[in-house]
Amino acid sequence: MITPDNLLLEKYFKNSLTHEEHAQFEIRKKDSKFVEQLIIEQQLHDTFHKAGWSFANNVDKTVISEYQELFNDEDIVNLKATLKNIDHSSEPIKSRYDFRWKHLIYAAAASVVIIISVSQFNGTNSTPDHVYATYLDKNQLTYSIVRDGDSQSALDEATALFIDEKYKEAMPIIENSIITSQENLPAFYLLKGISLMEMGSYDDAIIAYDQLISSDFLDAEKGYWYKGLLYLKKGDEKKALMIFNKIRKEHLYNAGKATEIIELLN
Amino acid sequence: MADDLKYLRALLTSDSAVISELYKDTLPKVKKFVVQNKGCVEDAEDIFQKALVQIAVRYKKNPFSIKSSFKAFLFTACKNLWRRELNKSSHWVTKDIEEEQFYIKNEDAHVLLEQERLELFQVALDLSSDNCKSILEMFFNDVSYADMVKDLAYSSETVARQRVFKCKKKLIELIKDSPRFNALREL
Repeated sequence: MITPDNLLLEKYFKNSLTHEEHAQFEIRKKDSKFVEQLIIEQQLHDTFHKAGWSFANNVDKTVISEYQELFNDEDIVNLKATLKNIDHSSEPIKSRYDFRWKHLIYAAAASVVIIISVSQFNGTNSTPDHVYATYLDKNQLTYSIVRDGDSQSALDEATALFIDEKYKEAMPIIENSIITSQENLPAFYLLKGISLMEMGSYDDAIIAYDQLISSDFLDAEKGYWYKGLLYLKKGDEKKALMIFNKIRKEHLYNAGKATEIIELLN
Repeated sequence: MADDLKYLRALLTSDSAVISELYKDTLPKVKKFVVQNKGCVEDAEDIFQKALVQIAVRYKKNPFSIKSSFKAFLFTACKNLWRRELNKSSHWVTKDIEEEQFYIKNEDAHVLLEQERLELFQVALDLSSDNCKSILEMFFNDVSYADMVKDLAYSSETVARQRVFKCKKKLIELIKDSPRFNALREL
């Protein structure tokens, strides 16, 4: 049976061509009109996918050369020099390196937790609760937080309480940071969600994760991962599997780990 | 808009007083965006400079007007450049070496054309009906047909799929009809 081109292309982009359709696709690629359609659809997918980008390959070299020459034009060279000077004179040297070394410390802490959790997992006990405990890595979350000067002490305090599992005490600080700090909002939503989840306030935790999922942040997809873990902790294996299947299918954050969990639970 | 012309001309004349306004007003927003999306302040500064140079080159080649404000246009250019930066590492995995070398040597020009193509596609999508725009945005972001049926109240997945095909066909026609398409197309 011949699959129409439209459907063939759709299945190609969804990576769901059957063996026969794959053979048909290869034959159709000999048709220049089909290839033209394939290229433009690929560009559309890459352009309109929120986390993607359409790179320009094989564009007319004359057009490329014309544009490239302009980057060496006198006006543009002058502009580059001016921008360099403005940057050096007007930009405050922020504590860029300060938060970088902090990242390293948090990353080191995260590594320790990963090693401990992996060594504790014997691969035979795969109850939802055990899987949850194995895959929840709170330190992994905290090390990605970037400190800003104004709210640094509050942040450090909240993070320390969170790591010490003093969630009730951490919550007011986290809530306040969500309102007052515009940086790190994705991480704060996750800190809030995990704290609530650990305290057993599942409905409120879901609200926090959903707020992240519906946001425009590139980290929005992390909300699915933690929501899936929540359902594991709650013992709702069916809903957890639905979410992990979505993560696997759509290649969202931690898709590999989601696949592991699906295999463990099935 | 006169205000936009002021900034565009300031870039070509390297008017540091006017350009400083942009640093004061728009750079903090770019920093916030980049830091919230896996980058650091230094990345934001690089992206901001690249965007200004890119806009200057585009204006020098083909003077254009901006529908929104210059600052909004600049911010969008920065967001796009950062999106590109985040995707850069996976780009050359299976590509031709000769092509890769040509790309790297002329990367500035390629980036500029990529940005222009993105704008061309976005304009074509904006010309589509609201319904087409919604369903295509869902389609290109891998939303399932089942969810499209639920969210856009179609009677079945087959109807939703037909709608996607029709809207996509129309979108591609709009893109190909644009006079800019030939300069941006792949050979």
